[in-house]
Amino acid sequence: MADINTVATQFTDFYYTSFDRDRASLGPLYRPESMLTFEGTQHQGTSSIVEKLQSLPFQSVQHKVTTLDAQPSTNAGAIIVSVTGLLVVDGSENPLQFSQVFQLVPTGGTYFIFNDIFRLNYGA
Amino acid sequence: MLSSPSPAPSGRSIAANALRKAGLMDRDRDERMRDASDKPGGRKGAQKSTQRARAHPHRPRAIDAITGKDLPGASNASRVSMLASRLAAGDSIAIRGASKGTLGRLRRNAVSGSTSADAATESKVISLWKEFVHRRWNPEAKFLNLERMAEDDYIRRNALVAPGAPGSTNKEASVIFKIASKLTPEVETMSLAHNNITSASTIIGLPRYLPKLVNLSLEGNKLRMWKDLDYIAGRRGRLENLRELVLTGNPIREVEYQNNRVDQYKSEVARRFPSLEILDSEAIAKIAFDVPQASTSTALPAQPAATTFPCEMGPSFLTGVDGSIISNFFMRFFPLFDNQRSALVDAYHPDATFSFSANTAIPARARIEGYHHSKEMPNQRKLEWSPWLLGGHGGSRNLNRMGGGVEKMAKTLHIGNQEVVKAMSDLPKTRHDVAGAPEKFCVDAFPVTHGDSMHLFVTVHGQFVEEPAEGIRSFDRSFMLAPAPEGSRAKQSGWDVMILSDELVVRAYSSHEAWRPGPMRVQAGEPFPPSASPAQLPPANAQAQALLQEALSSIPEPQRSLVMQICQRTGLNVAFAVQCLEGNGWDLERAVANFEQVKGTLSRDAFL
Repeated sequence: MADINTVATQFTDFYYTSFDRDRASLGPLYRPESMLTFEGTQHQGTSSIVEKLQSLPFQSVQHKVTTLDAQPSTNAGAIIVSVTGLLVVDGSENPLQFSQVFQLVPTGGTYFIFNDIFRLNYGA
Repeated sequence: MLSSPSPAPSGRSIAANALRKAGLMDRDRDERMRDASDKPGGRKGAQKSTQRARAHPHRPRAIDAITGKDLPGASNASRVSMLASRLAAGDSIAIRGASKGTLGRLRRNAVSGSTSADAATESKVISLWKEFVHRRWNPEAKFLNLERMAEDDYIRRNALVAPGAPGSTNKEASVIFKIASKLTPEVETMSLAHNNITSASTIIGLPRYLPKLVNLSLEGNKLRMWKDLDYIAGRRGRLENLRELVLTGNPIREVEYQNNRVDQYKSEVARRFPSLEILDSEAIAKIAFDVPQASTSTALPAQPAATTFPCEMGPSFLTGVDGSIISNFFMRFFPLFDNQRSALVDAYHPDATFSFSANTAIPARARIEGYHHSKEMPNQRKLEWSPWLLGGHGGSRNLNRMGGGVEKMAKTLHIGNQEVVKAMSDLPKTRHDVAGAPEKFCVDAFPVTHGDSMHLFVTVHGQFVEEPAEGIRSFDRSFMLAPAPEGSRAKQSGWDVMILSDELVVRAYSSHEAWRPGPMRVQAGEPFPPSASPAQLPPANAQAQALLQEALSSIPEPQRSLVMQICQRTGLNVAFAVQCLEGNGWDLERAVANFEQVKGTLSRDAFL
């Protein structure tokens, strides 16, 4: 098992790059048991989560990670990843501040997102 | 005013010229006036306008052509108007350094610098403007309607110079705004539509005298350039609450629309008034719900499940778990974290992990709001990042910044309850006011299943005071909690849960406005904790409460809880709350956000 810091870094790189390019492409990262809470609303399962992500009311988005932290979770091999950063929506010059926490669970040599908790911390 | 450079000719200079011409003022007095204007507040503006006034010493005044019929004679009429200008000039001299000067004081100062005959006329002018303002004032609506002033019979009859009329300066408007600032209730809405205003310099007194104005119409004026608007742009303490602005019919808007630069136009305006929600009768962001449509859809969402429970430490239930666990945990954890970190050793699992990272970026808006450098928050400057970046036996763990420093990565992850507490004890002392100000915290929490065992995944966002600087920081913190097993040290120490992992991000303060409070809520379908519901409804009489309860009772769970939250948070009545939720897929936060955008367009009967 790769070290958690490497996994966390690679994961966030991949996740946000994919998110910013094509939100639909995030589907394979989730499983039926995955749960997203987005600003206090709960979405369970791949299709529901991807639908939520795609319904977000902006055309283009760019994530800029400011801090990234990771810890081993209690579940064997799982990782808790905590991110804060900036969300540049539709090219606005005033980025929004966000905080996002993932729990990544290993599965067949890779990881899936078991939990995903997203909050905006501050408006632009 | 004097402290702001104004391209408009100075009323004082014109008045002085005119007075001298009329033989009503001697040279000494003119000098005296100019001296006053050259004092510190005067700066370039006064000088420039003096020059400009010199270049047009005989600038015609519309007022000269108007005969005031109820006044003794035409010459008197023009004197009245000149005095009005001078009066306003006197205002800026007299009031300098006392921005909240009262009208009475204005009058006294005006009197002290004049002959008694002038003084009488001056106070008459003030009375005339006062009378005018009161005629245009609708206290019920808190609305001061100053549309088409130059066309008003009263203005003409009394030979007053309306703001924006030829020969006017910013002084007339300032006199009006100053009078308006004394109105009760406070002016909330003002229309300055159709006054031929070519530059907001004419109304530069507005932000000063009416800093809390909510709605402003400048419709049908002649504002052309962005710099024309800059004179009244919102800044700290000035027009910070402006929610609605109308610029329809001004070249500044119409030209942009013709050139398909609508977005740029909107963003230019929004940039100048950050609080603005409605521009030219449109919500600035373009999400809308179909407001007054009759509800046709009765389809209910499968399971609108809310997992947010903003940290109101009330009793609640989590599926299969005692819901007060989270609140009990926070109410015990944070006071100990603040006062006695070493005592937390039993709250952490022997293999628990803890790490923290510092996000030192100051959000642009927080900077603008003065959350980091302002008189109101003097302690923010005293905060230092070094204890968070370097302290805690290893420093900030930001994998984004480490560039492969394996040793640092290992050092910044604290494993085992002893190590955890040791690291924490080296961090700055904090004060989390979880009990006193629950609205400043926001919690996401839900159970996660790990094999046979169930854990709680809790994320809390909020703020704390950092000692000794006494400044405020924001933080995000994620916990993985497990029920404390019987016989464990945690259980023996009175903890229902123990911490398996704890991840803390400390950020520059950014206020809690991103999460408004709502009642604690764990899963859809369950009733609200009794203590949280009726007490939080907007204060209303018993009858209204009864009506509300009745309307609510017809709505099935789990929707009822959502509807109630919307009612509480927005003041919408039940019917509109239902529509708002339907229009937003029964997503509470979306519905509230949507409401915030369109609330200005809702009629009164949408509300409780």
